[in-house]
Amino acid sequence: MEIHEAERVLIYEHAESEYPDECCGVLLGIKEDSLVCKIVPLDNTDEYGRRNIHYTINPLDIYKLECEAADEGLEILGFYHSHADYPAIPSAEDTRYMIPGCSYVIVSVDKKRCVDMRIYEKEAVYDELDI
Amino acid sequence: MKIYISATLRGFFGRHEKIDIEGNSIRSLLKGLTDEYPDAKEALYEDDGKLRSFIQIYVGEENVTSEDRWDDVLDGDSEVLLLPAIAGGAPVESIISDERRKEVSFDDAEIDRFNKHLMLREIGVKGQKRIKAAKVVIIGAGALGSPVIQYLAAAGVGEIKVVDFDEVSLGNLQSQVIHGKRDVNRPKVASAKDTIKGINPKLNIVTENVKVEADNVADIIEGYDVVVDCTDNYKARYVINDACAFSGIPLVFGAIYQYEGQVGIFNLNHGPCFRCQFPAPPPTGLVPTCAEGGAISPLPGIIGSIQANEVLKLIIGIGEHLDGKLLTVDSLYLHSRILNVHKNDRCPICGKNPSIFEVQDYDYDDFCGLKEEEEEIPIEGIEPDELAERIERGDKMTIVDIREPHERAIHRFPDVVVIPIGQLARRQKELDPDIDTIFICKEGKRSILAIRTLREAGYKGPMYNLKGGIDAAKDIIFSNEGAWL
Repeated sequence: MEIHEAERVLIYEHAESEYPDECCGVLLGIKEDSLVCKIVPLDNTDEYGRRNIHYTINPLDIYKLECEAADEGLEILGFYHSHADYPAIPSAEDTRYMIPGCSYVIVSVDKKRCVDMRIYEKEAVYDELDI
Repeated sequence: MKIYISATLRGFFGRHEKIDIEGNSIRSLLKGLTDEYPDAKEALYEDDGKLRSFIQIYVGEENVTSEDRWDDVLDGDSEVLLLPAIAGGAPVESIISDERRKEVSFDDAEIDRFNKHLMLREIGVKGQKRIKAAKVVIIGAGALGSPVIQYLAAAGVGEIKVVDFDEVSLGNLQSQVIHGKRDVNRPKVASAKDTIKGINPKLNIVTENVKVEADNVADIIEGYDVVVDCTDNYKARYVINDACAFSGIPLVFGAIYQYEGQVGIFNLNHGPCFRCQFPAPPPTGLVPTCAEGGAISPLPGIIGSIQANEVLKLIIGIGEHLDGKLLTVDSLYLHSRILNVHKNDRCPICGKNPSIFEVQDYDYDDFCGLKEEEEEIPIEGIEPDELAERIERGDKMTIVDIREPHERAIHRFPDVVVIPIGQLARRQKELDPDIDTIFICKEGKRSILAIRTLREAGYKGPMYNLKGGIDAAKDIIFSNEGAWL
């Protein structure tokens, strides 16, 4: 999957402005092209005092956003969030919430500066068992 | 009924946006969905049949993901939404820095001693070095402290501080397995130190034979990586929590009560503190009295072992821990559950408008209504040996045992009047106001309350409180009770 420089910069800006809290948002684009052409920053709705180590997006925000995106001919390709003062590697919790087929961008912010960005995708591994 | 499928989940449902399914509850709709799209079953559910973490179900704007809502009857025109849960966060990080880890090395004997840790992928040499670099303070060397101290010493925690003001008594040995028969009457910290030395003489052990209070708690915990609360009372718990919150040191809390126990982690990375969940000690009447104390022997072993395990996970930086959670374990019926503790913006210590700015001692005796107030008429007391003499002499007097029925199974006085405290005022006619009446309970505190209650009810006869209660009198009056129990 490809993310244009302009969108990358927007993600970096969002991550740096939310530091020391984690930022989060949605990646929109066209599935067949595998290209992110729009990012939408969303609120980290995690509880007060926990946003530096956790993020949560309100599912109803996603519902509203994907209906609007469909009108523009776009769809959700994945999500992004930041890790404050921690590498851009997924935690066990990140992995548990990953939906197979969606892309997940993680940005590492080190002392208010973005230092790394990586993309992850979970493969759906549902093994068929012999009966 | 029409179900809206989020674009993020449509891959599992033939890329359909809306699917029409027969049914009038979430449970029947989910079943209909997976009957129609059998492949989606594995995408929606974990192997144990639970809904996967990333699935959320809404009816209109209401979240009905929790299974206890699945049988609610839905209106025919309800809008059912299958949406994604998007959440996560930075991985669990060790509370021991890489710099400190790198300063540590092992000799051959240590490689041998800790090989069961070194074999684990998540711990390995790096994790074991963090354990050796760690400094842990354990407050309370009693029932919970016993497993915590011993497991942390055995696991190789480099510096362990043990704090306790008390001495070992025979009654401690039932659950305080760090002490032995030979330690009776010794300070608990001395006995604990000997046990640790027996496990690993190379560990750095610091002991403080003091009671943790507002004016010494900051010095006690300063410079340590984590505090383990193994105390048995609310006063100490609040002093320890408040000091940890002010100094930013994580706290692994544990408590036991009869057959139940709790474990939680507070003050980690500015997370919730004990007061976020319990802003102040429980109100009068809800505090377990000495009549309700006691715990089954292995319970502190279970709870303390979980505390020690959480401490190690914090040090190594692995797994999911009880940060912002409270695990409760019921050992009688073998139930356990995890409650979420939320950061409370009205918390008096770490909320938005704090009202507590320094650690303060909490006057619990006053709070419990057991403290003698100065303006009241003082209560006359009688020492246990004096009572023993009067019994010996055959003095004419009434002894009233106000303990609860189950407490009276041990240390039974012959010829006593048994009146539970709640019935005293009503049954005062059973007492003879012309002779002395002596009130007894376990610790000599409830008996003060009893005398005050009777005074208020208008009883005029002379009343005495057995000082220190049966706990103080048992060696004098009941020296051979075990023989006839």
